[in-house]
Order: sequence, then structure tokens, then C-alpha cells
Amino acid sequence: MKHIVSIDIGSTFTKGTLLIHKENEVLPGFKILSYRKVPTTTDHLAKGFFDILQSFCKEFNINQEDIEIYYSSSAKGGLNIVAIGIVPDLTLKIARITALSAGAKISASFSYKLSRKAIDSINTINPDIILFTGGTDGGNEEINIHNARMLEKLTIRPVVIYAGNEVISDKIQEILKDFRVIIAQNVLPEIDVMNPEDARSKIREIFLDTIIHGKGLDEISNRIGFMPDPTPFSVFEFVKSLPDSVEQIKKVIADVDLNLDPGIESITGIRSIKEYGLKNLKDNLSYDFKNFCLIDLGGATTDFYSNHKDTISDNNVIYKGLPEPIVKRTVEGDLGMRISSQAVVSTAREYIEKELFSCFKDEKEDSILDEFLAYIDKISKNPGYIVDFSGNNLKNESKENIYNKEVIFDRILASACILNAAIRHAGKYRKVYTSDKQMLVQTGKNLKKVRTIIGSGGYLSFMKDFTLTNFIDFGNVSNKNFEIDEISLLPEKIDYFRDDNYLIPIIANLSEKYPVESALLVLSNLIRV
Amino acid sequence: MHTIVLGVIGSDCHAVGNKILEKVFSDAGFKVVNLGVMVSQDEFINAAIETNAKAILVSSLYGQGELDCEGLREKCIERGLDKIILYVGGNLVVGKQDFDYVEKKFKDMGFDRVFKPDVDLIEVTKLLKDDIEQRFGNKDSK
Ligand code: B12
Repeated sequence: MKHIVSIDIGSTFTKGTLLIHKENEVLPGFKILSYRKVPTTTDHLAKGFFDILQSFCKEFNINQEDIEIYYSSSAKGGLNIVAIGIVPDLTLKIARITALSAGAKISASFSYKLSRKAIDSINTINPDIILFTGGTDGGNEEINIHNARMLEKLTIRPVVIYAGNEVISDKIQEILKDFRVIIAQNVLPEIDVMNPEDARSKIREIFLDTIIHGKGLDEISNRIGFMPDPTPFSVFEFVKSLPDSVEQIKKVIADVDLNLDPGIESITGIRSIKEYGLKNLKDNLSYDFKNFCLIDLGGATTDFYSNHKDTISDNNVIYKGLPEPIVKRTVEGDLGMRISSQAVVSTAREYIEKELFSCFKDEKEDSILDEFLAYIDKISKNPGYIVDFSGNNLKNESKENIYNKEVIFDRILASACILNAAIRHAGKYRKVYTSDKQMLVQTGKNLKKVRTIIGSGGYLSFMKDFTLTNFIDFGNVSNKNFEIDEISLLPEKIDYFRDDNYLIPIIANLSEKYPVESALLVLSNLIRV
Repeated sequence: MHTIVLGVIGSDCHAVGNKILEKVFSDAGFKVVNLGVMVSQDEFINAAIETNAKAILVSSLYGQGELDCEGLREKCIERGLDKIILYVGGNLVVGKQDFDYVEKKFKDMGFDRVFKPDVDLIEVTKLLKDDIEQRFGNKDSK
């Protein structure tokens, strides 16, 4: 029996869990022994980390040296990248996909030739990494060389990862000799071949050996000898590994009478799943976890992940643009429940007003809107604000059930974030009228046939009454857009699951080493609503 | 090796000729970036920029080539491809027009050469090599 600790250092909270790993079962599994959550101490990230670790040691009388430790961090702005490419729909697009899949935040992106103004703004942004792409192998040289000469004028010295036309990588290195330049394989070696993997792992390496020092994470890594991953990197790995793990679980479970320990008993801070965990697991295994989406709705951003291979079988559909990656992450900085709530209002004003006015039919439109905007003002200044939910029943948004308007305000915010994040993640059909018939041109990823959606994050995990299917009508969005000859390729029929206890980010840390165990625990803990 | 971009323009979905062109030009030693059917002007240009292509070979089979091709040269210049060679071929003659008239029209639009459907493609590969050398010089022909 091995003790394992997983800790996630978030921008507001540091969360940790102590588990034991059980080898001698039908399937190896985890059991959660303890869970802790403390505020993140931004000026000293190591504090929260070691507080949690030591409290586990004390509680269970174990030595720190005997524990296997995994951790991730998104504190202090996470991993901050500026992406550079030539054509927005080609190299720049893959540069962005690559950076996001590495768990980064993209603070700016630039296409074609960098201007003086662009250089000024990169200086101001002061990113951790510049991901410099452009050109297929043997392709465009001129623009990259121009861009390298411009980058040389920067007053800052971030790490540059060059993942463009490889023919000129020496030249680029020479021009940027004052920088630390890492050469990665071209993200677009040929016009229709995407190759984000090498650049992605280079980004991770840089994060581990350089950037964590600047964030004060080296104090942790020095003491425990382990490096953290950016939180979204871990979650990406989890999303990638889940289908295979579920496949393995199914195989074993098919011929053994299921007698597994669901992994969570009554622990402070965590809802026990002892009674229903096993049933959950059995039920959940009958749903599709080969193709699924995961939404991590946070206070500042909405992360949208999908794992789905989209194959086009319809003769009337023609795919345009770069092939979409099977596992994909997008992150929206203007969609979030607290810090970004002002931005949500400007992004989705029309939708929010419609929802507000239909929920509060008896009230004057102006006054309910004012109330809502005042609420937004309050929560954007107080990101830790939690709505008092007691006595309310969100399942039925009628006056009798809702005593606190803020419950509905939050619900509308959440719907607006999810809807817009989904639309931006998913692809589109555009109608094209050819001389003899109508065709559909597809760009981006088709999620129509994806059924499983997992909701995670503070709000989605703990708001038991939030059921995606009740509040969001993807079909309606698609059809509305279709009138203007465009249709969003959003899921048509949804099986929605809530990540109870908000376990995914913290279990995701373990999924690279323990994919099956992580999947077992997460699946027992997912509640279909 | 010279890179060239190939595709059928507009909402034209005739796919067969495009495959033949890909084969013939690859065999003749070009690096062919084939965008397939229903290719927009922007897609041609995007691909040509990233790959540093020397020429764009446009096909149009369904009779709307003139409309679809209009403005392509201007757009190329606008986006920094001022030297790129533009060829067009396929069913460009519609109704009772004669070929010379059609050829002139496409040349006025900025195409360097205009081809009939029954053109000898091997000849075209040779023409293209010459044209590239003339325009870009020998230094680029490695
Ligand atoms: C098969 C076919 C179809 C199939 C296409 C299937 C597919 N996905 O490929 C279907 C049934 C879908 C179809 C539909 C239509 N078709 Co049709 N189709 C044909 C047909 C019979 C054969 C085309 C073919 O494959 N030829 C064989 C290949 C090898 O030859 P190619 O395409 O001409 O290409 C060669 C040359 O043109 C040249 N070339 C081409 N491009 C270039 C570029 C350069 C730079 C160079 C150097 C050379 C070059 O080299 C190529 C290789 O040898 C032709 C008639 C014909 N015999 O050509 C009509 C034809 C092309 N179609 C025609 C029409 C009108 C249509 C429709 C509008 C409706 C209709 N009436 O059928 C729709 C349009 C759909 C659309 N959105 O594009 C007309 C076009 C008339 C015109 N241009 O004036 C044609 C000529 C028939 C006709 N005589 O009316 N069609």
C-alpha cells in the first residue's frame, strides 16, 4: 500500500488530497484518505503546499519521504505565452493550439510581419515564452527572418521556442543569439500536416526548468525533487487518456463480478461516494467516454476540452482548413464566473438580457437589469464570493423556489460562459450553393455526435441543481445561426455529468502515471444529472 | 525543388482532373501542395505564403471560372505574393466563345498562362519550369 499526495496550486486555492494506491484488486485503484483546501499564498506558493502536505503526514502519521507526490500549478498567471505565426488560419492557428494544449495562457498572438507596435506590446506583456512559428519546411523564410530581426529589438529576454520552417532554424538562432532559443519541430511541416507534439513537450520542458523558478515553485521542487505541471496540461493528459482507461476498465469488469471499492468515504470537505460510487461507476460505464467534452468553468476563464475523432462521411460535406486535433483544448479569457464576469456581460449581453427577462417576467426589465449589473460589479471585485443557496431550488426557476436572485444571476452567467465557450470550440457548417445543389463546407471540429459532457470547476461541481440540458439549448443556437447560412456543430443529444467534489484537476495530476486508477475514481465520482 | 499550389476554384467539385494534375506535376519533380476541390482564393494564397510556392495552378471545370478567378492577382499582390506565377486551365470556354477571347480575358486578369482542357500536361510542366527560372532566377531552383 503506497501513499500518494496530489496537490493543485490554483490562483485562489491550493487543494490537496492524500490517497492510497491499492495493487491487489481486480483492478488497481485509489482510495482517498483525506482532502484539504487552503487559500493560495501568492507571495509564497510553497506555504500552502507544505501546510497541506504536513497536515496529511501528521493526521496519518506518515513520513514525507514515503509519499509519492504529484502537483500542478496555475498560480501567478500560469504559463504565459505569446504566439507568432504567418497566416492566421495556418501556422498561427496551430501555434495557438499547441500552446493551449501545453496548458498555457495566450496573452497575444501575431500574424505576418511583426510591427514596431507589436514589439512594444510584447515588451509590455512580458511573456514567459514566445512560440515562434511560420512557414512549412522549405517554405516561407522571409517573414520569419523579418520577425526574428524584430524580436531581437525586444528589451525583455523570454525563452523563444522556434517551431517554424526548419530550413532557416540556424539563421533564426543566429539572429536571436542573445536569447535562449529552443528549436522544436515545425508545427506545420506540410500544408495539411499538423505537428504540435514536439513543440508542446518543449514548452513543458521550459516550464519545468525555467519558469517555475520565477514563480517561486522551485522552493517546492527543490525540497521534494519533483516538478509541477501547469494545471491545464495535466487535465489535457487526463482527457487524452480517459478513453483507453475506460476501455480497460470495461474489459476487466465484463468478466469479473464488480466488487470494487469506490474510493471515497466520508472525508471532511468531500462528499462521500461510498454508497453510490459503485452504482455510479456501473451506470457511467454504459455511457460514451470515448468521445466527450469537459468544461472547466472557473472564475477567470472557461476551459473547454474535447476528445473526439471527427470523420466526414456525408458526400455533401467538404472539409476546409487544417485537420482538427482529436484532443483539443480552448480557453476563453473573457468567460468566467467572477474575475471575468464583466467581460461575459459585454460578450453575451443579448443572451443574458433574454434569459434575465424571461426568468423575471414580473419585474421591470430596466430594474432587473440594473440589479444584475450591480451584482456583476460586486462579484468581479470579490472573486471569492459564494452565493447563499440554502432554501433555493434551481431545478424550477419559479418565484416560489428561488428566494435569492443571485442564484439565478449566477446560473445565467454560467450558461452564457458555457454556451459561448462551446460555440468557439466547435466547428461550423456553411451553406454553399453550387450550380446543381447545396453543399456544406465544414470548418473546425464537428461535435454533433458527441453526447458526453462533463462539467467541472467550483460552480459546476458544487451547484447540484445545474443541469446543462435544462438551461442550455445547443440545438436552438445551431438553428438560429443556420438562418444566416451557418450552423454551429454543437452536440445534439447530451448526457451531462457533474464532477462532484471538483476532483478532476487534482486527480488529473495522477493520470499520466496511473491512468486506469484515475479514471476509476473520476468515473465513480461523476454524477449524471 | 519548386513548390506549387494546386486546386479547383470556387464551388466547383470536379475532382478527377485535379488528381491527374497532382500526379503529373509530382512526377515532373515539383513539390505539389494540392488543396483539392472547392478552394477559395484565400486558401490558395494562404497555402502559397506558408509554403513559399512559386506558382498557383487554378482549375475551373464547371463554367464559372471567370467569376471565381476575378481579383486573385490583386489579392496576391496585396498579400505580398507579387511575383507568383498564376496558371489557369480546365473548361474555361463557356457556350460559343472562342478560346483566344477567353485567354485574353484571363490574361487581363493577371494570369500568366491559360490552358484548354486537352492541353499536353507534360508540355505544361516544362513551360512552368522555364517560367519559374525566368522569374525567380536560378538561385532559387535548388
Ligand atoms: C464527372 C462530371 C461531373 C461529376 C463530378 C464528380 C467529381 N466529384 O469529380 C458531377 C456529376 C458531380 C458533376 C457535376 C456538375 N457538372 Co460536371 N461533369 C463531369 C464530366 C462528365 C467529367 C469531368 C471529368 O472528371 N473529366 C476528366 C478529367 C480528367 O478532365 P478535366 O476535369 O477536364 O481535367 C483535365 C483538363 O481540364 C486539364 N485541366 C484542368 N484544370 C487545369 C488547370 C491547369 C493549370 C492546366 C494546365 C490544365 C488543367 O487537365 C485535367 C487533367 O487532364 C464533365 C464532362 C467532361 N467530359 O469533361 C462534366 C462537366 C465538367 N460538368 C459540367 C457541369 C455543368 C456540371 C454541373 C454544373 C451540373 C451539371 N449540369 O451536371 C455540376 C457542377 C457541380 C459542381 N459544384 O462542381 C459541364 C461544365 C460546362 C462548362 N464548363 O461549360 C461539363 C463540361 C459537362 C457538359 N458538357 O456540360 N459533373
